[in-house]
Amino acid sequence: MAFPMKDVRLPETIPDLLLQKHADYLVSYESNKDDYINCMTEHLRMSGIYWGLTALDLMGQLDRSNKETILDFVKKCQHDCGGISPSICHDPHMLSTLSAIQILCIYDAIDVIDVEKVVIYIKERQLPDGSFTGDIWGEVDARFTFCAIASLSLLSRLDEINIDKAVEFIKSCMNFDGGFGSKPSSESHAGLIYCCLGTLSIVGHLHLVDADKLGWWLCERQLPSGGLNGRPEKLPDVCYSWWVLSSLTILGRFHWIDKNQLVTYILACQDTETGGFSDRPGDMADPFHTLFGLTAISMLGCDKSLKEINPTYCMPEYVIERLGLKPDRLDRL
Amino acid sequence: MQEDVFPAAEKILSDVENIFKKDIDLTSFEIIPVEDNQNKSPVLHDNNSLGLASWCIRPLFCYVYNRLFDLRLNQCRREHSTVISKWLLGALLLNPDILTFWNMRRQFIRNGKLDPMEELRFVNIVLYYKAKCFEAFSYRRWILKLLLFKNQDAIHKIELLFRNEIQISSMAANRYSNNCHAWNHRKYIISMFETVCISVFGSLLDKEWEESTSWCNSHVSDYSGYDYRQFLLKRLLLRKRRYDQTKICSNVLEKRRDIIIKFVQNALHDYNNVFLHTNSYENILNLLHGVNFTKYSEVTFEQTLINLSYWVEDCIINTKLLQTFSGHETLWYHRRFLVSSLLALNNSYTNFFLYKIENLNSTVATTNISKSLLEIALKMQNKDLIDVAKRISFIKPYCAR
Repeated sequence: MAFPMKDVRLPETIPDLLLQKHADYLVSYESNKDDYINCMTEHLRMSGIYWGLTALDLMGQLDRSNKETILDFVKKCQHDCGGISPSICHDPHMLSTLSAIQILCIYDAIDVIDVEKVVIYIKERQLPDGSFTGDIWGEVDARFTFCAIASLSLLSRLDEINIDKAVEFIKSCMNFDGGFGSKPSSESHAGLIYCCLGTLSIVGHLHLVDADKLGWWLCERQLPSGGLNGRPEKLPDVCYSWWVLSSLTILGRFHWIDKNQLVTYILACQDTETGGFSDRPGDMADPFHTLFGLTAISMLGCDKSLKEINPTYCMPEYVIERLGLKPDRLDRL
Repeated sequence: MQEDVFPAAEKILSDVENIFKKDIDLTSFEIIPVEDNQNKSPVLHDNNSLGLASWCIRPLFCYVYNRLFDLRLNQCRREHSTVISKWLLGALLLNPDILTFWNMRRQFIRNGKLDPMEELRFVNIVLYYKAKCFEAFSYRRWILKLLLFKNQDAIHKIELLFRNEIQISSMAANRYSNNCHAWNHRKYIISMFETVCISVFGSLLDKEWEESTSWCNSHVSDYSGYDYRQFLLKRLLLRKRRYDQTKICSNVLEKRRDIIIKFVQNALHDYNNVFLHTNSYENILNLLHGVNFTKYSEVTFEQTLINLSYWVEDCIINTKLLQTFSGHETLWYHRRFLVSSLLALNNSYTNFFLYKIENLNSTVATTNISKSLLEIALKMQNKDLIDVAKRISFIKPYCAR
């Protein structure tokens, strides 16, 4: 007797990596959206631009993006308080603030925004217990800590906040299984694990992690199809290829998963007609999964034409080097 | 049709808003697939359920979205707050992920233009439709904090509020599996309860534990529900007797003690007589934790024994479930929690003769107590369960460590 495991069945033929199609898909994505999709997704615009640009840059096609328009857009999204919103006239938030800073770093154009003001905005989000809120309304989440720490480090302004306290908060989000949740005593989740490891990697506190225990939990995310899920008994999803793989890389335990099977799963999630990747084979492609499909492929090193990706920042490695940043990683075990 | 020009929009929105106002028992909202039929109203209301015909969704959402952003762009043009909140209601019902719109409603609450209690009812319906919406839960927490601040003296009101939140979390958890946002919300409420309504917290915890037992028994694949159970178990293990509580009822104590003794005796047949000669709770606990010296301070062993019985009870349930549903990763992951918490309990008891939060929250287990009866019993059971799992399925034994 065998038990049905929650997983997907891969198609018989697995397509090759269709880089050109993915680049074309991303370039034309904006202009192909209808009114309704526009209204439904506008609140993700800043992150959407970051996903698209990072992906194009990895494929060596950053020059196909509309740099002037994008820089102008980012500038218009900065508010008087210093925070940056996901689109014009939306409210500023830490998530879109990080995306904006990542975009500017890729273009090497950080002066487009008022850096002093954005630093103040981020600094003001830290609470006495070290945690960060997402905006002025006060919701706390470990994701926002990552946004704060990653943003400030990209601006070389980490000294503006209380790092010890921030680390203490991240530590309080750790669970018995070695993983991390969004708040103290929240369930371990691969996306949050990435955020917490990323934070600890930037501030050099990875020694706080039980790397074997967490590495084991992470590699258990791989399912028979080769795909990775983000929590026990969930379906595989291309985006977790990135969250799990980058986490394992930071932990020096990248080789604990079956690389070939994962590549097969990711390739099966390409849309061979429109270009782009989806969460699972046969679903609709989107820029979010397209980025994380490509970053995972880059990390897996199976296509030499893709640029190297940095596991902590999810940005091209050359950008991180240009900024002189050296996020920590544990040695390969 | 140009999508931001939709003549029927205002009428549809008013109808929807009226339903929210008039039907205080409204429980659900769904989009009903209906072919293009613009002669009939797309607003359906029956049996406390609200429906919108699918044909109107796209133009309606574009309409409210564009109105709201026109408004935000030209700050000079004034609209009455009732009109704006009607647009917001439509926009958030159809897409509750747009934080900016929730923030506009927050501002309205602050200015007294929206009633926080009515807002909670509105969010119920949003969560019925999108049970895993982080922003909607976050908005609830913001309202709760506000109400808590306002009603500081009216404990009964606050208790009612919290109980309602627990119900909403249940609804969302039932409508979307592995709904970590719903369970995190519930944890948040329980923690608030603990600080604000301490006098009834004990009975709430018992009730939550019972409810979790029955929920987990019927959701063996939903780890988020089990994660919540772990949260409760930790609190039960750390429970202290309050100064104003009467003595622990001897019936309860005996019942809880028997759970533990039966567990050990069932797992370890050779140890059948080990508890015969001792009626002291201290001795029983020492045997269970493999400690062979006596206490050095005043410790209430009765309470510790009761607390431990919940861990034992959960081991018994988990073992039974694993014998039936051996292929479910969730059950093995939960067992890992039980194993790791036993190490922490042993550790804590050895040092303090009771359970401390520092030990339970520590992820590092340092003890090596080979004489702990609980540990021996659990190891025996683990071995049996892994053997069974290997025999009947391809699944790797998740409990190997």
